[in-house]
Amino acid sequence: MTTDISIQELVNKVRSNTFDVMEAVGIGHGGGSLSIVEILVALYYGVAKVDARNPRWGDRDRIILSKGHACESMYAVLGEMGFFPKEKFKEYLQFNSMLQGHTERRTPGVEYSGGSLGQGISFACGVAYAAKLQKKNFKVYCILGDGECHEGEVWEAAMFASHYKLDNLYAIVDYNHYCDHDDVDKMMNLQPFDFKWKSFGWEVIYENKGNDANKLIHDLRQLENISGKPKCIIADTIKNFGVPSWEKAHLHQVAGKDLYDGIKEGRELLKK
Amino acid sequence: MTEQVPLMKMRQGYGDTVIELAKKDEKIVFVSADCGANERKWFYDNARERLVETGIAEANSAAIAAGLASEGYKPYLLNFAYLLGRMYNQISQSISEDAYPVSIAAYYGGVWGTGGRSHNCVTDLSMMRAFPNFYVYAPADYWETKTLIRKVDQLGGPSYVRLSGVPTPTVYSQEPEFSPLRIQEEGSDCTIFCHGTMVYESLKARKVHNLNCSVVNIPQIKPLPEDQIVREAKRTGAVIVAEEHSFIGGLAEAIALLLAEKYPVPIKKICVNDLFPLSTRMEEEDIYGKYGISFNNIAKAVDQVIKQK
Repeated sequence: MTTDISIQELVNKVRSNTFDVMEAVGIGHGGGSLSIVEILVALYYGVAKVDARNPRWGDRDRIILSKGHACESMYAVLGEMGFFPKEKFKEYLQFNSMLQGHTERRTPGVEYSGGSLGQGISFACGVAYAAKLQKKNFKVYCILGDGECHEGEVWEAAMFASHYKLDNLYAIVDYNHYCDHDDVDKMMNLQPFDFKWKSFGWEVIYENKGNDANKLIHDLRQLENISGKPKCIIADTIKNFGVPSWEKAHLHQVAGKDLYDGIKEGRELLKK
Repeated sequence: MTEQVPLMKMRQGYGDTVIELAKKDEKIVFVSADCGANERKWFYDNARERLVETGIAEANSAAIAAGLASEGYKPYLLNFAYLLGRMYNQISQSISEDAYPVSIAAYYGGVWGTGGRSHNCVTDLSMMRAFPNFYVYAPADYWETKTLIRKVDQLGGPSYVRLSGVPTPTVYSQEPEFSPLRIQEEGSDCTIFCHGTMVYESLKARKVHNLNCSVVNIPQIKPLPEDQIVREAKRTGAVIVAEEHSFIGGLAEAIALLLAEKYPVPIKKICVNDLFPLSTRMEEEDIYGKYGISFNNIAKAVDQVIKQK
């Protein structure tokens, strides 16, 4: 947790790092990475207990990125925290690099090797169940995509978490409104989204300002007071947040000239 | 081998051993998607919090097992062989990629069973062999099932043990020591490599038809005990591979590739064709013959392969 530097400064640093990672190779999942920068900062700097010098510390809180394609911002926050040197950003996607195209446990600080969607929340259920068995107090945070919630397995896991009263489990859904090809609700309607989670037995906060890290920290702390059920924040976010031209185009993945132009645009905004 | 031998269920051997191990090891959890018998009951009655029931949600159960393993638990996951397909992607990404020690076992591997095409599975080895980091086993009977469950308990990595769904003839009279490959009988005309129920069937072929061939049980399908297989192929110069599995992706394919590279010899397969097995009553006569994998089929193949030497 941080006191000597503002949360907004950290958000800017992590967003800038995200640009660095994507710029290293000229490709990246800009949309879903930039929409969760605030979620990551809220978790890593706001509420979670982690130790960058001891990534496998037994009592750490587990932060599981189920939407593994958002790896660029995950690497950005882990690098900022010192889990590995930021120089490693340049090695993104190089052969046998510790920074792969979807998050993998080979990267210090990464808890789950993702990529295929819908599974991270099940894995998180297993971890949360294990914590209960061991009577350990660590928390399990799982970041899901909104399109990922089209996966049936998400709801199998949602049932499981509620059935076993896994109140150490927090799902944060990045509701950035766009899949790869279209508006997520137009493709397959998720509504009533918050009610779905509630009806599965979860305590739910719908956060309208999902790109406000301080709001998210407040929500996460509020949820700590709830016991006997799993908790969910639906964070209403903007895909590609911080790069207006990408936001307008709802880009999922970006490469080449669009990427370099967009990063330039994003960096200008960070200077303001 | 024409005399009556006891029929026992591999499933029982699995349950007996898992219970025995779980009594001593609190890290063992049983992951069930509405599956299990005596072992599930034991966990339910004696260690309910270590029975991780997911309901009929196979995909979820596999990724949950991985999460439990990541925290130091030893999940035993049991389901129907055919339903492993429901977990394909979860086994791949959540278990296999990071080599979590999840011990998977599945029953109704083979042609026997009342369930028909959706439950009698002859493609499970094909799927489970393909995952990097996995150990794959197939016991010959009740007793070797116990041996193999003790083996996977000590592996520290992901494993699959294939079980029949019906009572099968016993090959052993007590738990054999673990060996990835075991020469059951020696002969000089050819070698029959086999696993699972085909070990008994091959021994029966040898005895009934008075064959001068080796019968070699290979319970460890992956990693394959390559050197011993090549040595045996060199010794007899002709090979049969018998398995109650499709010829696609099982032991026959593995051995054919190995010998093609290392020591080509005449080889014949006794496998199930590229088909889905139908429902089978327990009293059905000569079911293996109907699928071309009976002791008579094995003997005929031995005769043919010897002529090719």
